[in-house]
Amino acid sequence: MKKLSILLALPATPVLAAEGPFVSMQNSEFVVTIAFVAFVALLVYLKVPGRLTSMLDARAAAIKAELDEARSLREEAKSILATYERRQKEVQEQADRIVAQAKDEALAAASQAKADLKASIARRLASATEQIASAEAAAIRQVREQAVTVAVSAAGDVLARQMTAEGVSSSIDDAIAQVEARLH
Amino acid sequence: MAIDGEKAAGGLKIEPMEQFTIKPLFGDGPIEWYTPTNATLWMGVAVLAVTAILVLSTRRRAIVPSRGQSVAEMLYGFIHKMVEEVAGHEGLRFFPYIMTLFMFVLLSNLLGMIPTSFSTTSQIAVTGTLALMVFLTVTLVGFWRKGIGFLSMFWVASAPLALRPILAVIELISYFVRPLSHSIRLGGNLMAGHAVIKVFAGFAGVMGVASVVPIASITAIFGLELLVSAVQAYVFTILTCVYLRDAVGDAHH
Repeated sequence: MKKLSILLALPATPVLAAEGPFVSMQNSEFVVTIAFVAFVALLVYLKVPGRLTSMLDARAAAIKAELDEARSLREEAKSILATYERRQKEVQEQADRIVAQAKDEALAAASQAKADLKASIARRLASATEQIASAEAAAIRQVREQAVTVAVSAAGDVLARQMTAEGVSSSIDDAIAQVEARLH
Repeated sequence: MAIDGEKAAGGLKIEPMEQFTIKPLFGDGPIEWYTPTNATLWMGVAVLAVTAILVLSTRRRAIVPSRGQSVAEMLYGFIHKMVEEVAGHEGLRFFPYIMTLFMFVLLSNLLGMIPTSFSTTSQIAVTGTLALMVFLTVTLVGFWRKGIGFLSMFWVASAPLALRPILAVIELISYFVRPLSHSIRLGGNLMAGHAVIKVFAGFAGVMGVASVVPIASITAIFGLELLVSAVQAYVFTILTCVYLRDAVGDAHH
């Protein structure tokens, strides 16, 4: 509008002034100027400039709305991206935790197994020692029984050889005599 | 002139062609090629107005356009779309030239409507120069791009063989008439409108109170002239695109 008024001010100095005064119905330039002003007034009356400016403003508003929409979409996409990044991080942490836990469990299981092995070795060692001891005892007992058996049979042999028929009777007599002597 | 006789008889002073006289801006000497004239002034004003509309209004390069920038963007988009649709994708190389033509013709037309101004586009010398520039551009670009094959546009291959030589003559004539029709269409329209306005203005001088009627008529004609200004600028530009398609496009009529 400002530019237009500058352009309108230009012809204020009549370039093509016909002879005679400017403000006169005889001067066709003046008549045309009246008609021009009337035309501009008609345009203003019909609100043409207002309509044009509102159209331009609507265009600007539409562009602005599109920009805003694009910007909000971008923000939305950004927040979604952030969510996914956060989730990924969480999952990563979780995975790390699971791995660490599994490692701990494996270590614990290994040490447990080691302890169990040690215990079972000790147990077997103890039972082996016990078996050895009982075997030793059994052997000693056997030897002793063997020795008794041998001694008894040896004593029997000796007694059998010393005892003849009379000897047997005399010894019985002796035994009786002894018993008699002792009872009295 | 017949009008001179009427002027003597009834004081009716109608000189509709007086407004198209080229006068030196300073003094009254003879007009040489270097003399600054009213035509020089108003062409300069048109160039300044184009600069104001396209350059000054967009100097902020805002993403959300101001009103002025919106006008510049819409004009740009309008002409760009037209060039692409009419002259084809190859024609877009000539978009700066066509945009310049359109803006100059449009602003010259519109500025010519301001009372006491000088309408440069009503001069055949101006429109003829513009049209010749288009004609030469199309011809030279056509030969440069297609070589001798450019002449095949005069040989209508889709017509029966017997008719082709006749059609070729007609095509050739119509091709060379182009700058004439191109320039007279614009200059004649503008000149006629301005002459009619002046004739009506002459009536107003002798009609007393009843001169309201011719003034109201001139007001109405101003509306028509506004339309003619825009439409003729558009027609001049779209014809340029149509001619250019012959030079750069593959398809012809």
